[in-house]
Amino acid sequence: MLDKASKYKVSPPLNDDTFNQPDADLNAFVNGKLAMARFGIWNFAKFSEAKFNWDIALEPGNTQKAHHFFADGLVAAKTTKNADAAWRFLKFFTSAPEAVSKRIEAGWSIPAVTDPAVLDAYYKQKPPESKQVVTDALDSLVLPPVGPKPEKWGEFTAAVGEELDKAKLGRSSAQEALDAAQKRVEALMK
Amino acid sequence: MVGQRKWSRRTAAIVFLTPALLCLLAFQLLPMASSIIISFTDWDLLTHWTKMNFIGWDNYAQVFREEKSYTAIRNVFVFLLGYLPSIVVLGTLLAVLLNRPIRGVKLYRAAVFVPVITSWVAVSIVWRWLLNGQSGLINYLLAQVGIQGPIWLQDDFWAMVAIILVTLWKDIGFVSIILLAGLQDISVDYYEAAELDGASPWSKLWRITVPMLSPTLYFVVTISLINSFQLFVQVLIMTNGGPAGATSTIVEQVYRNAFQFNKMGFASAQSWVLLLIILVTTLALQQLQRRWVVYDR
Repeated sequence: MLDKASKYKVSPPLNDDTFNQPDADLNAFVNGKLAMARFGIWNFAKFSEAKFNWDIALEPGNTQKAHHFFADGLVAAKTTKNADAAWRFLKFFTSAPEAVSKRIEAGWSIPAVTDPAVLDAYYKQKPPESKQVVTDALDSLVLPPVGPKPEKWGEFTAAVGEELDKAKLGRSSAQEALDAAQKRVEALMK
Repeated sequence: MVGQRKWSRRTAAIVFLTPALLCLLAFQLLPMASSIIISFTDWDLLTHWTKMNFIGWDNYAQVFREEKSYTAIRNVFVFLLGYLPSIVVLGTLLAVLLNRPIRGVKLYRAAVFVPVITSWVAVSIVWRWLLNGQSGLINYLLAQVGIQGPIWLQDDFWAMVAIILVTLWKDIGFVSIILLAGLQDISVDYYEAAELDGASPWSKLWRITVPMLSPTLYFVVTISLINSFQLFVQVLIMTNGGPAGATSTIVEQVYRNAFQFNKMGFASAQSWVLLLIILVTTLALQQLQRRWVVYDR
């Protein structure tokens, strides 16, 4: 990544302020300034503004494919006095035809149902042409490991981010940055 | 009337002061007192406060052990090095200018004060745009005169320079208005007497203006020093302590530890160490003032 930006200059400089703005990558893609990028499926609506044809594909992967994944979890409190009502609401919210069609219409997530007849409406909604890819990705999904100290997540990301920043600034090499980051994370684990 | 007399000054004072005092108690004194207690615990903001464990002086020991504490203190001193002399010298010069009988001086005085009354948050966001390395106005203007501006906020040297410059711009109005009041307090008799004796403008500045202004200068230095130690909002918004911790400050660390890492106890300990630093510096300054501040008129 460092070389792409500073050595071969095929991606924007890493200290480019434009690319530190929120949604900069999204806007760059829609404006035809970025050829390929990784996005979430909730960005499809934004892409409809693009003045060119676009499509999606699974990431090539190296020896094995691996895909990000996230889901919206719905929960009811363990101690709820209205367990039955809560269950019925959750069921309605996630799988009732009315709710499912609303979800598909809004186009921000896939309804949590397996019935192909229901999901068909989702696949038919185009672009992208290869809509099926969205669920194909689930075959090779990976979940991030949780823990061993989830409460220190913020500190981990800060430590790693700071070391990577040093590499971005050219103050350390990629290897040095990763070594330093590892050291700091290990210290936090103690 | 009898009724009015019964409403003595004392009762009136209590009635009018109570709301303000209650607020002071609830939002200032109680949090301060509880932060002392919290600083000796491992409270993480999420567990119920009755379940926090007392861990003695561990948090304070950790403050002095952690490398980041020293980075933050060093950054604040770098900031001070650039900020304090500039604000005092430029503030004085501006005050002298604003003290001249020029046309529209009241307008200039108001204009200089506008940044002071503007919100730090709004100002920081605007400056972040202006200082944008690729599309910011500052670099555009610099390019017009043939200078290629740095990527201000993404560079570990220029980010601090930018923070110093923006803070100067924001605070100079406050400092110069205070100094202006100090200048106007100096009796013209001194200058007239000096004139008769044939004193040069330079010696008038050094023998009259500066000594007579020294109590005000002392106040300005103290306030600026305390404000510098509390450097926070502009850092949080403009650089978020980055890049690579180059603009990380003491209060920024307190904020991060408390509200991002949930280390309430540690953050409280850091705040009290900050208080200690400010206290020691201010006391040192007070000792030093005897050497240069003139109080007789």
